[in-house]
Amino acid sequence: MTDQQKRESTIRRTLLEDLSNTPRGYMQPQEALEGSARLAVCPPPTDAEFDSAFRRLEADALIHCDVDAMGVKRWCITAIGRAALAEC
Amino acid sequence: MLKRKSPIMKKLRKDSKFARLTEEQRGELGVYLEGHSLEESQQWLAARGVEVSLQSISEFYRLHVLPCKWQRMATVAAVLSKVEGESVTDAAHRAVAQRVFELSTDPKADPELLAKFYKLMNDGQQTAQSERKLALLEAKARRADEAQAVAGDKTQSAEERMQKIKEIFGLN
Repeated sequence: MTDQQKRESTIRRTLLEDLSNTPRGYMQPQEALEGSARLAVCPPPTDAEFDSAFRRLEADALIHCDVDAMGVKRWCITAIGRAALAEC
Repeated sequence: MLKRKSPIMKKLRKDSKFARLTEEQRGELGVYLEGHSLEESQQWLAARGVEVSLQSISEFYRLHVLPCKWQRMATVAAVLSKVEGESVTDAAHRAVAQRVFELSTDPKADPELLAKFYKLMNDGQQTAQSERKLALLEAKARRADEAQAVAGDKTQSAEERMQKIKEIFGLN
């Protein structure tokens, strides 16, 4: 695994971990998740890295997104996401 | 695919630079970190005589601040679960609970205060419903009085009285 791949994996793991600690039935706004990950991962992920991480996690069905009328994205972890996290 | 151990709340090592801060200052740092960048936090610490790398601050956040955020979210969710949303629809209850929950990501937010805020909204909704119910009952009583007056009016035929009563109750 290259350093870049390791970093991408760390970003995805950080987002997934934050969502797995979100109480069931609630979602976290993308802005809040990114703010937290910018502190938990050093150097802080760029917007492009976040976009890529969210897209990959969603494509793998590990997270789910709701977009409200204002265009605010909110995320929650899926059962598959919890299982994937537990396996790591 | 995703390799890294789960962060856990750890005690600070005695030789940790963060151990130089008082418990109160560490609490302040936690609050400061949640609203600022790693670089800003580094300057905040430097102003208090603690020179640490960005990596160390990030690790401090992951091990000591993030678990507090999760704890705070769990507390708010537990408090919100006690608030009944009888007077609002399930969808409205969920939407408001979600917004109140989001406020919990603010480290300065008081979960009890947030729950009280939601309860007030809920109570307000209940009061509005009670007022609507009262207005309907009053209208119903008014129609009953009118119908009673018509029923007692012997100047009209039974057929006319029945027709008027139907009009009062909107049955035509």
